[in-house]
Amino acid sequence: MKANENMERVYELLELFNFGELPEQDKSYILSVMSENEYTNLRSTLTDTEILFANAEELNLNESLYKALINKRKNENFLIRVLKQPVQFYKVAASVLIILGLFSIFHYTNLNNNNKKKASNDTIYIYKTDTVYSRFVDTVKLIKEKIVYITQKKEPDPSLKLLSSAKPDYDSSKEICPNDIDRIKAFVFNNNVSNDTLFKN
Amino acid sequence: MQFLSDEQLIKIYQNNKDGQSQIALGILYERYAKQMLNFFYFSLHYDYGKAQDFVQDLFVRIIEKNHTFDRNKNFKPWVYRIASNMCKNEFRSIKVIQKYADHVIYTSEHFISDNETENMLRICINKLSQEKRSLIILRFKLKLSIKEIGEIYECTEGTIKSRLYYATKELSKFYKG
Repeated sequence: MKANENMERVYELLELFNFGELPEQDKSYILSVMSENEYTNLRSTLTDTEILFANAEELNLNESLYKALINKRKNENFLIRVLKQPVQFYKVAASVLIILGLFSIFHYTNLNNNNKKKASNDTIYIYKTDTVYSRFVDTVKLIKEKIVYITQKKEPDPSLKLLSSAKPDYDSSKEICPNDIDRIKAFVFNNNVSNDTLFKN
Repeated sequence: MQFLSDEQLIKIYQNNKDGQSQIALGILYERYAKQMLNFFYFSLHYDYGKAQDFVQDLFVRIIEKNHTFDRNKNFKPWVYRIASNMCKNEFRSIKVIQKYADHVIYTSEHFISDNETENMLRICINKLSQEKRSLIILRFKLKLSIKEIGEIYECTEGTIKSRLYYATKELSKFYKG
């Protein structure tokens, strides 16, 4: 810190005075920091530099440079100009945060909905397939195991029916007894039964 | 519009109203282009073509980054700060430094003629680091005040004086031996 303060003071004096022109107080100050020769060298370097730049060639600017600059801007693509528009960092960061926030909200909402759908689908599946199937199989097995007796009624012989219709009091289920021969003869006679094939059979 | 200050002109350019922005930019170009050409010419080892390119590049940056200019501050230090950073970036690469060193040798052949002392001093200035060279150019070629240089480098006047002292000391070492 102290050294820097010294350098500041020395530089101020270097710019303004040759060693011989320095006030006595400053001269003694300079001598406390550096030698007279050193000061003189620094001073002459500064003055020579000033002279060098004062005598330096005068540079001329190419006039077409500004026109080229303007034309370059005019010809620049609109999209590139838009992209070059200034955007503050905090705005970009805020935008990214908002987008991420919206995305995460959307994502979690979607996730919950999907989970709910899956649960309901599972329930329906179990109810409609497994339950119904098991009932059906059980029933079928029960039916198979059950012994069912079916009584079948025999249709009466049409010729016997014919006989029974001819005489209602005649019971065809009864066997004809040899004693009934008279009755048969009488029946044939009374009912005019010409075809006796019935008796043949 | 010629009587307006730099700050007022850049404000007009920033507002971009009534098509006056181009005129404002034109005036700023007239005021600064030549001194920036000198700054770049001496900073970039007397490469005139490169200096012209840098001037154009500088104004492109002014156009594109005009929103970063603080209206409460001065325009001049802001422009010089951009220019100084451009030079700093240019000398980052060792290859580039070597290229410029070769260029100095080439150009030095041209100015070893009239005044040997001046030629010697030019070579010595080129031996300085980029920052020290810029300080010398700003102070002695462009005649900026210590305060203005302080605004460019965003440090106190005391710091600038101290840096100038060390730059002068190093230059004297090369120059006087």
